[in-house]
Amino acid sequence: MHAYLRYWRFSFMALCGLAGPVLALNSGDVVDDFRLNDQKGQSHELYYLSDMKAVVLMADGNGCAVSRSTAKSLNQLRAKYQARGVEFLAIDSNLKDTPESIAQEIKADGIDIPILSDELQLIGESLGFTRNGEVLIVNPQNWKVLYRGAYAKGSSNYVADALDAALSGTPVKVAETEVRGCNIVMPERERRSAHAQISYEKSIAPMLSEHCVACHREGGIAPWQMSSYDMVRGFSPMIREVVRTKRMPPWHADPHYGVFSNDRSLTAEETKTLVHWIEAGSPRGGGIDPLTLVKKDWPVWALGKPDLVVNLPKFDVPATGVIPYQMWTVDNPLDHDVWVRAVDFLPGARSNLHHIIATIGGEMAPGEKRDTDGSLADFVPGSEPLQIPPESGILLKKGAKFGFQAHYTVNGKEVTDATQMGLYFMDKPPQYRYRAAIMANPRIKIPANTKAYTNDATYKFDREVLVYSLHPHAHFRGAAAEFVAQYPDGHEAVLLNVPRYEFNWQTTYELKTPIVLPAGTAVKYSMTYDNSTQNKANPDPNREVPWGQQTWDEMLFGVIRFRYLSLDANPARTAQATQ
Amino acid sequence: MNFVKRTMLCGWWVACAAASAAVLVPGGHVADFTLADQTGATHELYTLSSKKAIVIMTVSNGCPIVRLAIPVMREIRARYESRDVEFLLLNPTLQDTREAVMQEAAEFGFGMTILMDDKQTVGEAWGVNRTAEVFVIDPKTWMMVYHGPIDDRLNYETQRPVHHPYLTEALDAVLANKPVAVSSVVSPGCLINFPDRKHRY
Repeated sequence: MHAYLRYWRFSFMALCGLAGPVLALNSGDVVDDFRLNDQKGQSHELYYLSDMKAVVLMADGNGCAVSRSTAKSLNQLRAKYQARGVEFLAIDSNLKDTPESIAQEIKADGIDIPILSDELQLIGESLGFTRNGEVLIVNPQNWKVLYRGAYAKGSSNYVADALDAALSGTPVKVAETEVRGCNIVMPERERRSAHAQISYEKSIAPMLSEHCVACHREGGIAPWQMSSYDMVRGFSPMIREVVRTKRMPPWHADPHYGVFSNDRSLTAEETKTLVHWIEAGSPRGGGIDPLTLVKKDWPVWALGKPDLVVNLPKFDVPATGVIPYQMWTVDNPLDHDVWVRAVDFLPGARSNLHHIIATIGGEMAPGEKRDTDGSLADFVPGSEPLQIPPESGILLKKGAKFGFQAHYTVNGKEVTDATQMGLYFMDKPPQYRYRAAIMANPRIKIPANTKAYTNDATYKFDREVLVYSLHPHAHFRGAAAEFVAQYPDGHEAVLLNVPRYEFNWQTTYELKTPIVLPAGTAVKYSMTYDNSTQNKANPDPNREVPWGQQTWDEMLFGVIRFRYLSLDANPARTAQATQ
Repeated sequence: MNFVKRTMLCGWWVACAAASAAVLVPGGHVADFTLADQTGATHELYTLSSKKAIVIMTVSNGCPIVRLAIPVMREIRARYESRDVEFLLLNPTLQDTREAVMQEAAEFGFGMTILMDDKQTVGEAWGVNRTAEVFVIDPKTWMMVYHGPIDDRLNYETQRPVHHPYLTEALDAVLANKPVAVSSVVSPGCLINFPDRKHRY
């Protein structure tokens, strides 16, 4: 009787895939999507690999002999299987390991498999990784686990056998084996029951109010409103997915470089709390529901009544389809020159307006000289008004024309947008001009059917400058961007790394502490483009893509906002050239 | 002994049904069900036995992929309705009330009957995972012949030209009494919370 019961319990676990004490992910279970940066700061998303025949994931850890030998073996296997459509990724979920120490460790062994840095441990926890050296093989057709366990034992190469079976479309014979590797210390794995005690009232709702509700509110651009516990609970699995894949909150800077005042991301602790709460079943707990009490009145102009309101043209947004960027020129009604200290936007159709890039007379072309800067300000959903540092300003000359590039998103409903731009002026001319440096390459040609093509442009500062913000810009094929300072003494520093560029979110990255670049510093701006069919935004992977204003063409275009450190003798007269 | 075995099998069956993500797959038999729609009127699946095909798409309020899929669904319905194809929507969420569903349908012009699966029984039985998943049922056999997206146009915050019109290809096959070539496709959409589904994470 006893043995019989045990047999049936075993069958039940095998049938239902419920074996294991915590978060087990067994052969046949589905692996949820995730996105992580590797040791080089490059971004990898699991489900991007849907064109592969198999994906091999390995739990990696510094200083672990089993991990090292498994990584070396996989590195060799990769040479053989990569051409046959197998991708290899390692995941380091060890709290003590950093991207730098990982890069250092694998360098000695000549390992070129990307090692993804799972610093929050959320991915390692959900994959059920407990020991470094463990291998998971996933079928990209349905994201189910084909194999989990050791790399090999004796003469049995489990991983190679499983890959051969996957490639030939036959069942994997040995789908689970025991792993002997170094234990991965995962404090939260032991605290599953405590996660059910995370307070919706005290932790979750305030976090959502602070980071999400500005858009996820009535009339906001987000499609659904975080207006109650029931709504949040209903979307919980989706919240978990967008957080794991870094789609939300929409902040795309690599946290290892730079600190930005407009950072929209959740902190590491907040992210873990939110995901663990969802994995615990999104418990309501006691107390009030703070999301039902969110203020309904949002200020019209956050900085008060503007000195000048500029009406942008009305635009009829269709229900669905892809809308070209709208390019408008609007007259400046003023009969005298003014200095701008702040810019804000009041969207007409907040749920459809995705970005505005406002200029004075259009962005300057490379090489063009002008006595006013082209760049004015950007709008993206949830952004704060541009407030120029007190001693600087942007000159708006009488007779100048405003240029606007407007990007609308469709949401299944026809609406008409009529957006306003508010300008705030200075009482007297500033000490410094708030300037823009443009890095662009209008001769760009992106090859067809290419997953990663990188191009760059460099701007050299001939005077000592104070840098305020960085803005990468590309269209549907933009995939990753980077700004690197090359100092006169020869050393380099990453100012901003955007491992996953997202054209829907035209963010200007505003440095929390402006940085000084000495005269002679060159900033190299690079953009990597994905012109493959795996880029779900790509309208035509078979086309070589040239420069163009519209989203089906491309741009290599980066902007740095700065001022000179030494006083501008007459800020209005100092012409700014672009390179 | 037999009693123990039967009892436990039953227990396992229930547990497995709740645990497994994909209970019904293309080729499987679709059981009858009766659900109320957003106005309160009831609909029984098997009363549609005279139809040539039944298309049911999962929806929820506030999902951008649903809102962008609806205009295309309406257009496909306009082309296939006269050929005896029935189009229905299924809302298997816990959070959307009947009133909220009517408001969303009016605001975004859904223009189709929305079956309210508020106990999630159909969603669970069919292995629904996300919104904007389309199911095609052949009423001759009550077999599910397709489960996947309308086409390959939509993804998260992106759209691109259609290369694979999966749904219309499936409908053309059913109407021509031919097997559906591509019967199962991974589908983007908003994940739906099924709290009773075990082992979700």
